[in-house]
Amino acid sequence: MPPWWWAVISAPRIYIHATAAIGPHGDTCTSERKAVTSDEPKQDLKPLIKELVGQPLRQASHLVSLAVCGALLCRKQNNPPLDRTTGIYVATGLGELEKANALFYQVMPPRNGLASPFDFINAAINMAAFYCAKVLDLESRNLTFSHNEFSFEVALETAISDLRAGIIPAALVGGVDERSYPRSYHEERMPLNKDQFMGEGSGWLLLDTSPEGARGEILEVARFDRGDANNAIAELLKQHRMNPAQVTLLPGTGLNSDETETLMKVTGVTRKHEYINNCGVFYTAVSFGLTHFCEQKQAGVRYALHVNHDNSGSFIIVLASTSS
Amino acid sequence: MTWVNIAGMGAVCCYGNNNKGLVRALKENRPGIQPLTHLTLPFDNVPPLNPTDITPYGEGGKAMDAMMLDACHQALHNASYDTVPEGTALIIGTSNFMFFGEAVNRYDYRRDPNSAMLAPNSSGDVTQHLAKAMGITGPAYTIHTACSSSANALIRAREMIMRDEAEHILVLGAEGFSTIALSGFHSMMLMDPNGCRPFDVNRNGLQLGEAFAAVLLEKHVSKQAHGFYLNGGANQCDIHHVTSASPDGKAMHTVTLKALHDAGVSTQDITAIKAHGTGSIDNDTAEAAALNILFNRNLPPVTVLKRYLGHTLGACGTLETTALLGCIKEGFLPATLGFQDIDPGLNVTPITENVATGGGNYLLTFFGFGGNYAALVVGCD
Repeated sequence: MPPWWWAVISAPRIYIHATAAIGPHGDTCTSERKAVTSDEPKQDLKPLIKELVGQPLRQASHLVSLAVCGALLCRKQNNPPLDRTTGIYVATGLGELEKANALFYQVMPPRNGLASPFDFINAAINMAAFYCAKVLDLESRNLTFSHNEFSFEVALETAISDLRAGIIPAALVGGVDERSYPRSYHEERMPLNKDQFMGEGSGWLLLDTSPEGARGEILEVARFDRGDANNAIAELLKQHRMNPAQVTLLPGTGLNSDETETLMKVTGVTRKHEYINNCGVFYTAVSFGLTHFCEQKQAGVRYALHVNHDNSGSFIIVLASTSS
Repeated sequence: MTWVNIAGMGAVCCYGNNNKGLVRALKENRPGIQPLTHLTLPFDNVPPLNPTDITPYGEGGKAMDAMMLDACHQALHNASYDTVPEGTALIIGTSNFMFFGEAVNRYDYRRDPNSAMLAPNSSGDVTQHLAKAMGITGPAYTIHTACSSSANALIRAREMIMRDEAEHILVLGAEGFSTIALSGFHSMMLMDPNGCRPFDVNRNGLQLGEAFAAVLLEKHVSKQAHGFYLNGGANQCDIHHVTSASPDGKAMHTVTLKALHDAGVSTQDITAIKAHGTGSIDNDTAEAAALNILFNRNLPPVTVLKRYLGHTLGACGTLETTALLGCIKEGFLPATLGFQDIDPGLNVTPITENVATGGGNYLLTFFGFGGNYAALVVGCD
């Protein structure tokens, strides 16, 4: 028996206790979701912040506001109060763009001026995680991750690892990214096809190791080399004894339509959930996608398979189930 | 039993680009304050700074790349590797890559004054580029937690090794100077015109530094004599205020206590403390309170490295670990430069002369904006 055998069978299972997302229209639930059909202007989140927090967050940037709204919506989904030692794991592909742009405008040529202290503080990428902890009153592990296409997956992977190690009782894992303007500048940071629209949003999962009251489960987060990723993913579904008819594919932002088709053919999965249509393209869009999938329960569909790849040749998958 | 060995270390900082030069400077108690030549700042009366010498590395983004690569290669060579071990992961800790974006933009602007001033590419772009250049095939990502970034990267790397998620992890702390960051700290009036004076009664702010420092961690199944081991670490958020610590030091105390628990040691096992000691009034007050609670007002020797190296923000986790362990290997704890007059309210008196030291456990603290705190316990047999 291999030495890791005991660790595998004894590893605590990871349950989803709440999911929530704010989308690019300020949408916070299924009935408010709508298709993204253009590169929309910046949304005003102040009214929603005031409603959710109970007061304005005067110093919060747009990115911070997106993160805080998502995290608070997720907390609202969960009836028992959060343990104060719940860890916060924030993922962002592009980080704080609004304030970074402001600083470049102030300091770089031709202005060559001083940085605004307010913009300078808010340009720190961990501000979203700080404000989430502040409004949720959580004094615990607090980490912010970035890895383009895999940002959310890395945060999720870390949160699961920490939960299994027992160093936190629960984890709030969120992905957040914002649009920037004009589109031509945004495309310098994140490539977009002509038919794709800039997206933004913030999606959150509340995870712990207790099955009681769970709404789903994270079954697997795994990495594969590009070479035989499709077959490896098919094999993984078999290992989990999944009927492909019960699986819905959530293609990541890195997957093009040909790759998605091939993957579906190899794995036998016939359904896909095109969440990008409702949130636009951004690196942490899967955080929105998983929430959207959970919101839209379809009869007979139990499993979500998210697959993405980055430009270095690695694949990553997230396999989740929802309670029937 | 799994042990996390600090197999190799390397740095590009104000003392150049080799560990020996860095340790020699600390042994001679030589401040690393240097003139800033590669940036023109939009304000007068520039306070003491600790820049790197960028000249050998070229210009723009290429220079930033080259300095990051140099630090990583030094760490590999220091661990006796010619190439990156198979499956090595890369974790970069930085407050953000604005310095990289600024370097690229300024380089472009010098060639074409009509070029657009674009905020930086994503952290992922920089990290993936570096991973590719190093031949790293394992996971590669960035942790952003302000000044505790690379300390948290070390903690995450240790946990990955302890949990059998990786066997070799290269942790890079990266923080280049930028006019944006320097003018930001200037606008906030956070820099001491007289340089960093940690825990001194007359302390009045930070002394900023620039550095790229890498640490290679690897899995050992048994301890080696004279080896350095990352025995524990902890991260904790203080929600008191975005830029200032809880004055009672409670959250800082919690993170240090958690780090000791993680390492399985008690306060009696701590040989010395490498304090964060930014020299700011509030931070040092809170840190002193935390250390006094932890050690019941009976502190082991305390040293602070900021006057030597500057506060290198997100890079200070790997840089100060590299510097401290280099000194311990040479048998001394460096004197705290900049500390002169005791603050009677703190009960912290950093060492003012080099002190002989050897094996034991060392507590290292790192505190950042956004209330992000980290503490490490490093052991040496």
